[in-house]
Amino acid sequence: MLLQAVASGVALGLIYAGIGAGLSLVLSTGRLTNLAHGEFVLVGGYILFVLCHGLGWPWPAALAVAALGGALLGSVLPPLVRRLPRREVDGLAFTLGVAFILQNLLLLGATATYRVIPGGYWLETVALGPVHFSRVTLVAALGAGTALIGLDAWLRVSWTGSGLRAVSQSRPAAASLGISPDRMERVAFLAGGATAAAAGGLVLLTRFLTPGEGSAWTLVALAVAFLGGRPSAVALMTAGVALGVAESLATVLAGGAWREVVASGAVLLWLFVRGRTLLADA
Amino acid sequence: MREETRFVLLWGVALSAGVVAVATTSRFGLNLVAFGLLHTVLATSWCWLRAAGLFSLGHAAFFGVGALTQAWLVTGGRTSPWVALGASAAAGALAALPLLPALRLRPASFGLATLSYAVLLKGLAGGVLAFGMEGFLLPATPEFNGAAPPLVATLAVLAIASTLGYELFLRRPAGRAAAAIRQSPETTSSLGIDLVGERWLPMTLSAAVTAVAGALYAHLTGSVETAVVFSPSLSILPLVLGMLGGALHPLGGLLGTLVLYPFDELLLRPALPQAHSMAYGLALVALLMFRPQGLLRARIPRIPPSAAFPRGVPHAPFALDVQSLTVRRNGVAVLKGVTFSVEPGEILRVLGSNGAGKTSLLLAIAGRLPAERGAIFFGRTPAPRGAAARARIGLARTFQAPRPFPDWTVRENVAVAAERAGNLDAVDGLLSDLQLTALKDRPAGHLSVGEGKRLELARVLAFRPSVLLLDEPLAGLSPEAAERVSGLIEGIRRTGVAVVWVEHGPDPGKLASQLLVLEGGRIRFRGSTREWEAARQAPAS
Repeated sequence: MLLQAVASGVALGLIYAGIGAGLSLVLSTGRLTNLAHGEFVLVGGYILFVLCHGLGWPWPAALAVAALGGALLGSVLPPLVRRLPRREVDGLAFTLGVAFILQNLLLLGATATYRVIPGGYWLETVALGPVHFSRVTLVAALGAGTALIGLDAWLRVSWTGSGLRAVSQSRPAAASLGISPDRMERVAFLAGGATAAAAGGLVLLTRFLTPGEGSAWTLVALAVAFLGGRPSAVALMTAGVALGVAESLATVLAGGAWREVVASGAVLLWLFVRGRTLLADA
Repeated sequence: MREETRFVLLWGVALSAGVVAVATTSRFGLNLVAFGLLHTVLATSWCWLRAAGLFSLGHAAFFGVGALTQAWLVTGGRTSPWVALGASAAAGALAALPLLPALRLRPASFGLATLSYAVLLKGLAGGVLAFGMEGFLLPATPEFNGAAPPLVATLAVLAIASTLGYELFLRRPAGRAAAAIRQSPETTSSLGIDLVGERWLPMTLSAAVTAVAGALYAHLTGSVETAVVFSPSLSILPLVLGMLGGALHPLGGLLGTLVLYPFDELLLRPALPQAHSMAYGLALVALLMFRPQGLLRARIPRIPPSAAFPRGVPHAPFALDVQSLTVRRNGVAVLKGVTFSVEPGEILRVLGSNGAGKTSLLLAIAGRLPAERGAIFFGRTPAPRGAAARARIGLARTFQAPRPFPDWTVRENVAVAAERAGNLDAVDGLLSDLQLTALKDRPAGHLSVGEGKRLELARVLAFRPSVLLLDEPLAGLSPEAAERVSGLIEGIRRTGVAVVWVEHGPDPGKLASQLLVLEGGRIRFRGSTREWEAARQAPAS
């Protein structure tokens, strides 16, 4: 049973890493803790639900549209965020307001009913040695892993990716090399939104959706982004898998209620241990 | 408008509106008033934290603790509701204790810590302990039966007391310390004010009042469910109302509630029962776009011109002794085995190029960078841990880039330091010495860099330190101003202060008793100015 819990935790953790990737990108280059990130995840999930369940689209195509929707949502934020006088604190309050608006819009549009993709071929389990997964869980986990590796390669190899990394380290230094910090910020929000919404689609494939879940996904994303430290595939996957395995083991050994305790405890612990360095050291 | 008039006027409007609501709509009106007062209490107690530079995203943690404690104690008639209210307040204050380590954090990080803490408590209470998982049904008593008049009166008293308490807090030294921390935590520490110690009181009071609000909510609704009383909306609600009214004003929570709550309850909720709270999100976004400070301007606690609360004492002189100091920053050794001592009445000039370790040396002496090896002694005693503790026994410092308290005037910036050293009589003389008299009533946030540098110096001189750390005090000053500032430093040296004076470049200046030249974190030279000049002129061997 423990082996199964660890294996399920690894699969869950890869999806968590996907959820945290977008926030990590926005946090490092966009200098914003986006508390509406969980709602971006939900928007992606609902787009997938409407397209797959309502219109009968194949899920890979619906996933691409969900990512596009997330990118559009992300692109709305930079011009507004730039107007905030103190981005660090006001950005938290601002994105909290955005989260509240999105949550209520989802409630209006989709009601509080739990949404799931009906079962069938994709929900059948397959055995991988001693552990079992549903086909859809395997697909979602592998999809998240592949997307993360793709994101990592884009950040490392492409011209835009190196610009994003430069801006995340020093905006003035990047600007002095002709890299526009504002443009890179827009790209980060766009890519962050797309990643979040695509991850939301993967979430819908493996479990349910309801408009009130946004804050829980934001917390997961925060835990992954903080523990991972930077938007790289290895760091985010390590953080996501650690969180997923810890949650899975806690659920098996102590009960389902430990799920949110693990994510919130991880964020709190990180802030207590590492957050002290956030205070300017002068 | 005077604060007293504003207080009476706003509360007069609020209570009159309440009376009209009750008279015209009876039971519904009483409920409306009760929840309006509850919102005011929550928003005001949330604002209290902003006064200390903190930003909570998880006040539902304290609300939930209060509601569950009250429900648990009262259910089954074990405890009187009045006694339980006291216990709920205590439980709220205790629930704030685990957040003590977070009081060192910047506002945004503190906000994330509270957000996580609320989720953690919800998970622990409802799920792990199964406490209140199935909910509590509270017994009805004559005083506490829904929106019964005694309960509404209790809420009114709590709401008025919380706004009054906030106002009184701002008028006390604790309120001034909180305002100092909010404006500039580093400068506040350099005056010996402990961040955790001063933030603890407003946080505990805010938590206790929020818990009592949660306890009264339990009676108001007659039932308590863990998922409801810890829900994120109870963290967002006070934040929106407080920020809308003006979080840095004691009446901000009341005004925010007066503006938004009736609009939501009377118009939006009937029209959009499922999504009426979208108004709070829209209000928050619009507020941050167009009026981020809120409807009421910040109430800045003023520094009294005379010693209304004498707390400080002069500092006794002592020598600074640094032994084999090794310091790392981000894994890189920035100081390697640095040893020197400065006696009272001496000036040690520290020279070196960029990256030589000069500022790191000052940070380590000031207690802002931990030593990996070696030791720092004040006199014969090891230096205490932490910047505030070192400042309290007489260590003062200036910053390379001026860091004044921007909301306070130039005079108040100097007076707040003078007050800590029982030196308020010297403020006007210091302002005159540093040519700041003409600027004394200007907010320090509006000064130029040169003026800010002079203010830095005035502040540390008013502190009457035993050891003074100066980080490039002459940089950016005109030759005349530099000459004048050098004269002042020489003057303070003569009073028996040990001075460590960092300047960029190789020029040792005229005033140094001894020189310390750093290169790559190591001592390249230590000795007199004459020896240094001889060493520089000697041909390289």
